[in-house]
Amino acid sequence: MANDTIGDLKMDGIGTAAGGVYRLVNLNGVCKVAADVEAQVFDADGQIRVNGHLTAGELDLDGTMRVSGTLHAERAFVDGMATIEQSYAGQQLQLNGMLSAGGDCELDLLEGEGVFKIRGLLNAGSIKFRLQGRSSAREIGCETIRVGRGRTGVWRALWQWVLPSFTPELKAGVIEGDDVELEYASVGIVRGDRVTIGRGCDIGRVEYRTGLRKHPTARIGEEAKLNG
Amino acid sequence: MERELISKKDLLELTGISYGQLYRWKRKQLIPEDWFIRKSTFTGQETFFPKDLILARIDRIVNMKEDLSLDELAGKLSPYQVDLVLSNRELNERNIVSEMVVHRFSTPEQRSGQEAYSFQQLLYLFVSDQLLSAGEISLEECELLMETLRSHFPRYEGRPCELLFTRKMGVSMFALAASPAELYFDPGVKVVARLQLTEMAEQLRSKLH
Repeated sequence: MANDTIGDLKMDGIGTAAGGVYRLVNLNGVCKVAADVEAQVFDADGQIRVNGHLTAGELDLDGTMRVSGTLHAERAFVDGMATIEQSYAGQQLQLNGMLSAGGDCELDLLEGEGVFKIRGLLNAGSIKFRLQGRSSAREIGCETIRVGRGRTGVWRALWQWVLPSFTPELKAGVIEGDDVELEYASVGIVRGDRVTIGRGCDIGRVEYRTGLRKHPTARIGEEAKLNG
Repeated sequence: MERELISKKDLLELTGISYGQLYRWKRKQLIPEDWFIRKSTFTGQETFFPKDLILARIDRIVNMKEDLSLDELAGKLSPYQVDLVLSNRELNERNIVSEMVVHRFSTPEQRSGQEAYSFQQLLYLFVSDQLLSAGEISLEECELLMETLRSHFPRYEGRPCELLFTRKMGVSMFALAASPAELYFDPGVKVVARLQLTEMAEQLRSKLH
């Protein structure tokens, strides 16, 4: 494919576009991309569906998006809901809303507020996340992770009572990292160097090297200090 | 072939690296995905690694990361890319491949020392030698193997692949398959050997260094 003649894809309203390689993809409305698509900038507003793999240098999503394959985006800004049926890899994700991935998720930086549901391993350099609902990951491996509750208000309590999935909490099988700071998490095993277990946590076993700080209300099954 | 495994916890203790480093290297693809072997133990799911491979790899990463960035390192570590050539004399001295195999499958120039062996050629010799010394293939079959590898292995262009050697009613057959591959045979077929060439390359490399 000749690189100097890469075109743009622009679509407004309701429609279906072919896949392919583009410089700029701009979708507004209820749009579907029928095959694998690759773009330097992928800017989407509305309800988007990609039937295939999506590769983008920069992804800016406002609205909902469903990708039936894998997503690769160097930098991603998601306001809304992104569902990736397979794995997700990239460098940076600013999330305001919900992310679900059917496979593994590899990122250098994950920041934001909302909910994430990762069926596989969430492997990230740094995670700074404020929970707004029930988040989960089979496994989390990272350098630093700091997860706490997001903003709360009067209406939240009502929502939580109506729909339990609005309870901000994190469920994971294993969390491993250098600096681990958790709140409202229920985890099987936490392994790390400097570990902080905050309020509302329920941890099966904690293994740490340098230090462990824990909130009086946190429940920890076993604690083990490893030398190193 | 049962290989020795090391748990993640023991690995970190032994090498002194942290969880963060391990995950970072995995993200940068310095450690291949298929080395992460998940097994259930009494404490739940645990991750294990092939001990010899991972220790050699971590050693390499730790030694090289002073001079190179992680992204540059990733290029260096791709399984078959080794910029290294060996002469006939060195090869015999270091006893990596038995002399008989070397003698039989070298060009006259290589034998006289005028031409050196590339890593790929060494890999072919190494694989043949492994199978031969394990008594799984005969010398004639070894010829066939070399031919198979020479003509088809370069097509994989560094992607992981495996070598299969099967026999049915005394007739032997070699095959190369991209891994991970799921292959099933009719009941008359006996799979004599199944080797991951990526792993063989890794083993060979650890012997060379």
